Amino acid sequence: MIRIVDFIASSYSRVNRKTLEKLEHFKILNSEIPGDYLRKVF
Amino acid sequence: MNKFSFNFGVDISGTPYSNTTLGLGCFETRRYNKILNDLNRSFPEFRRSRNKGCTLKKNKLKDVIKFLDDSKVHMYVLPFKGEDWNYHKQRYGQKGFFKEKIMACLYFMILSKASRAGYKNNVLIDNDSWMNLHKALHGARNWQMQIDMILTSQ
Repeated sequence: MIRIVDFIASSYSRVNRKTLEKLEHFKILNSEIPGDYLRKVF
Repeated sequence: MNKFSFNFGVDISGTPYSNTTLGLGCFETRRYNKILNDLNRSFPEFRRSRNKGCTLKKNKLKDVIKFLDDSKVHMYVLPFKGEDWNYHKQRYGQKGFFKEKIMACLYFMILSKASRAGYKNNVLIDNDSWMNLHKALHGARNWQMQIDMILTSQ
């Protein structure tokens, strides 16, 4: 399982973004951390 | 109620303060063996070597991701750039367990997007040497995730 997710994590920087976006089950998430998350942990 | 159990795996590519990507894969537990067997059949070279994704040729990595997509493995990536790390470091860098607390946020963000409410979710998280995973998971647990999860680390 960890090997599979290692491939997934590596793909973002190594595979063309348009190719990834065309895939049905591949989602690229927004990196912005919501303020209430930050307030909770800090 | 008919409940399927889902298997989740989470791994990080890169290290803090540089460009990092959190990756998540998810599929039904009952399909676990079939997916692994099909992966080994399609890419027999993986059985002989322990190549990491970052060392694979780009076309090979693209083929693997296409295979996973065709196998209905749900994949999520959360890119977190060096600038993102530095932005938060300027505000919270002096706090204890800064990296772990940021990772707790990122784990929560990616798991809450990918998880399915009402199902049992088994989550396997790879342990990286630069982080105290126990602290990061403790942060994520404190949020009382609405999702029923069993968090394990490797």
